[in-house]
Amino acid sequence: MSNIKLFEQTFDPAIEISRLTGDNKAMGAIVSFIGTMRDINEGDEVSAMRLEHYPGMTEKSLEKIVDEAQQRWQLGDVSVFHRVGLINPGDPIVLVAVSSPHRGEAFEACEFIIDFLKTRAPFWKKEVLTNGERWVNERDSDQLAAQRWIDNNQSNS
Amino acid sequence: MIKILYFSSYREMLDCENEEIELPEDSMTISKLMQLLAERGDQWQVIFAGQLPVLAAINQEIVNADAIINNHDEIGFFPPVSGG
Repeated sequence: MSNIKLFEQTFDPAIEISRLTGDNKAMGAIVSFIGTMRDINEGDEVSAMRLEHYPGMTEKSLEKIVDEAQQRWQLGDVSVFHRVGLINPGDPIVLVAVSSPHRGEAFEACEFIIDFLKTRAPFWKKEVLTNGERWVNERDSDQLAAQRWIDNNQSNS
Repeated sequence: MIKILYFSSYREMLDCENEEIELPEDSMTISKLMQLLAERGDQWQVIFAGQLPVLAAINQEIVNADAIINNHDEIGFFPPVSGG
C-alpha cells in the first residue's frame, strides 16, 4: 500500500512512521528518511524556502517512483510526504518511509525512492536569503545517485 | 488548442504562468514548439533556443524533444528539478 501526500503546512513525520510500525505484523523492518531544511547553503544564510511544484504531475511522478520500487523489492507500506509552499529552517521537507519483511529491502527501497524523487519529481526550491531570493540548481551528485540504480538494474538483468 | 504551463525560474523569466495557443499544424514535435517559442525573442529565445536546460512534459509525463504534441494536450516546460 502506498500513501503519497503533499502538505501546504508542516507535518509530523513521527506520526506516519508510528502508523507503519503498528500496521502490518508481517513486516520486520521500517526504514525512513527525513529531509529537513538547512539554514545555510553555499555559505549563505537561508531564512526560508519556497517550494514550487506542478500540481497533478508531481503526484503522478511520485506514484510512478513508488510503483517502480514496489516492483523491484518486496515491500509492505510505502509513504512519501513532501512539503510545498513556504518552509522554515528545521522543518521537514520530505519523508520517505518503507516497510518490508527484512531490512535489506527496506534500506534499498527507501534510498531508491529519495534518489529518484530528487531527480524526477517536479519540485523546485527557491531560497530566501538576506539580500534576495535564488533558485536552487540541480546537483550532479543527485543525478549520479539516481543513475547508480539504473546501472545496477542493467547489470543484474 | 494546447495549454502550455511554465514553472520555476522559467515562469519568472517569461513572466508567464500558462497560456493557450492554437497549434499551427495538426501535430508537431516538442522541439518544433520550442523553436516557435524561441522566435518570440528576448527571454523566450534565451530559454528555448538551447542556451538553458529545458525539461518538457506532455500531459504530465516527461518526454524527449522528438515527442509529438497533439491538439488539446497539456505541455509543461521547466528547468531541472530540485526537490527532496
